[in-house]
Amino acid sequence: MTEQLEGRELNAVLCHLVDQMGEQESWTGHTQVQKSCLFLQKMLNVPLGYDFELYLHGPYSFDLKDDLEDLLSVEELGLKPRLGYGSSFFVTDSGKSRMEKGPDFSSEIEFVAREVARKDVRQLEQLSTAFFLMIQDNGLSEDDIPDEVNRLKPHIDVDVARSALTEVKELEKRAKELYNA
Amino acid sequence: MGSVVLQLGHTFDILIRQRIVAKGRTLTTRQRHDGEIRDAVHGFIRVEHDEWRLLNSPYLQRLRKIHQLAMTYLVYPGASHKRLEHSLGVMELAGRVYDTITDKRRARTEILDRYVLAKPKDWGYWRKVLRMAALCHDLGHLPFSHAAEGTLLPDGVSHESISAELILSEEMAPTWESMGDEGLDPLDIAKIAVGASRLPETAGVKNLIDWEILLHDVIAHDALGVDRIDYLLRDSLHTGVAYGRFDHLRLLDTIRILPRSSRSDSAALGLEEGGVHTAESLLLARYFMFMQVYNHRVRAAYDVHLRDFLSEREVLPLTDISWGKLRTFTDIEVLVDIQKVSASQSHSAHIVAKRIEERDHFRTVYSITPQEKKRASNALEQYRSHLEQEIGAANVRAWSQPRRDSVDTAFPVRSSQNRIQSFGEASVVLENLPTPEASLLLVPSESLAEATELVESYELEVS
Repeated sequence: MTEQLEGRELNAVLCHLVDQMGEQESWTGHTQVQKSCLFLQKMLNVPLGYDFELYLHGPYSFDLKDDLEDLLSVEELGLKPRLGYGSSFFVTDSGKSRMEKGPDFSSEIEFVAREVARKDVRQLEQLSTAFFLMIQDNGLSEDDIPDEVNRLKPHIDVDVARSALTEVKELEKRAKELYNA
Repeated sequence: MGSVVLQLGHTFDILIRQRIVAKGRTLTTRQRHDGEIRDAVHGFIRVEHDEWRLLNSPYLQRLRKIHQLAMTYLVYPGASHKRLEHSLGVMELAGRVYDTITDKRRARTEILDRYVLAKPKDWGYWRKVLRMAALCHDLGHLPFSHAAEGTLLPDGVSHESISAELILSEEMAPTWESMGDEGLDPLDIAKIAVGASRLPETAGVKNLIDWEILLHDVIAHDALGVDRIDYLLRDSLHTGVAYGRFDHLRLLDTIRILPRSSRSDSAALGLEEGGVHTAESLLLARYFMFMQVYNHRVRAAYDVHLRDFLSEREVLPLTDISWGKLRTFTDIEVLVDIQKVSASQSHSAHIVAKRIEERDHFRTVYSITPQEKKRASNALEQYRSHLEQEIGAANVRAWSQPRRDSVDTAFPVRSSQNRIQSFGEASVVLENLPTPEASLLLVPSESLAEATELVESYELEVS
């Protein structure tokens, strides 16, 4: 098991992720970064060390929110308002130099930026909630998960949750291939 | 004041009427309010029968013995208010927000239908649960609130998780069973009071449903939560620091359950556009209160002295955080102990107790600045290690703001054209508002001159 990332190394990985998300033309808002970190940590085994809990728009880490705030305050990340809704994170020059000094998780980060981060908030909520229930120690079988998604989040239909679960399993298969490569 | 009382009376009448409709019968004595409490911040707080009983229980009465702002009264003499009045304030505001967000005339009915209005018989139940949860959200505070929590408690335990343990405890079970017609489920109260992640494993709850999260957010939302609204107003009043005031009545009136965004089906607590300015003033108030009160240097010094004292007097981290321990573990017992130990040189905590008693606190020798943090994120550790080598570890203490307290400004705002945008987008004022943060190094007054020279001559290693 790789040691949990902390301090500058963790900041470097977060900057790298945000940078790659931008490259992949992700919206790179709070939701995209939160869900990308979930998949990076829980599916690609990058040891970010965050605790996630199910919140209104899917799994969420309050510590990650604080860390992103810290990165904004030291100006390694910036936020630019975008027409329509919300703001997008970007990596500043000092964030880019931080990023270069960090550990190498390029393949994992590129995978998540490409496969997860480009989705919209609605898709991300469905996908990340299904994934979260799949990996949580909750005694649910895979067949139970779509109903549970719908119970917790009544605006997600059971059929939509079932499709999201199928997509997650496919994603997990590809992630394992990458991880074992 | 008269209009506030009338307004409250009106709200209460609406609530009672809705309750009658919900239950389809007349009121019983149990459902009537039993009295009111005159509160320094909110005027009259109406207390219903079951709430009154809970209020008179030893679990709530204990909060009369815990200062809201630890030893801040040594800096701001008026800051002697306790957790109990804050808990009452949070209960009052939670009820008001509930009435607003479930008001059919003002709410998006498709969202409300999804949750509570489709099940009208639950309307009164959830209102009661929310107010009870608000009243109980701070039950687990240790002496002097946040000041020594990190020192006293093991990793993974917080006052919130202790609150949940207490709400779910055998000791409190009879209290819940006797409430309402069918009793209140303590698990519902614990879920709304502390959220899913602070519930004990034994509760068997991994996730909350969206409705429960929304109700928890009524209390704990980092921008709109009534916990924050009450403590800012109350702390401002008692410290005399006027920066903490804002138009909370307008804010409460404009809170809604809204779609998270135009691209999302999920709901969140948000605001009508008319509440944006008062939400901005809340966030400014919060920033100023942190800078003026919560992160005050002398206040920080007393936090440090208190932690040092408790570290000598208790076996840490605490393993017994049962009601049996908490019942007699309040500010009163600790203050008596400080007085006793300060008078007796044989105690190992004598010196620190004397510092508190005689107000001979440590002085700030270094405070990290945002510029320095950019140059070296470990600047505080570097200075600390340098000072410890030169003047001894016993003479150097570090203090950091107990909790990082960033605000997610992505909550939704509905414009008069019914367009949903994020608060960050709707507010131009907040663009450059920093997150309040403080990290200090403290030394005894007799070492201050030497320590200052050491800090000034130290060359920071840039990271």
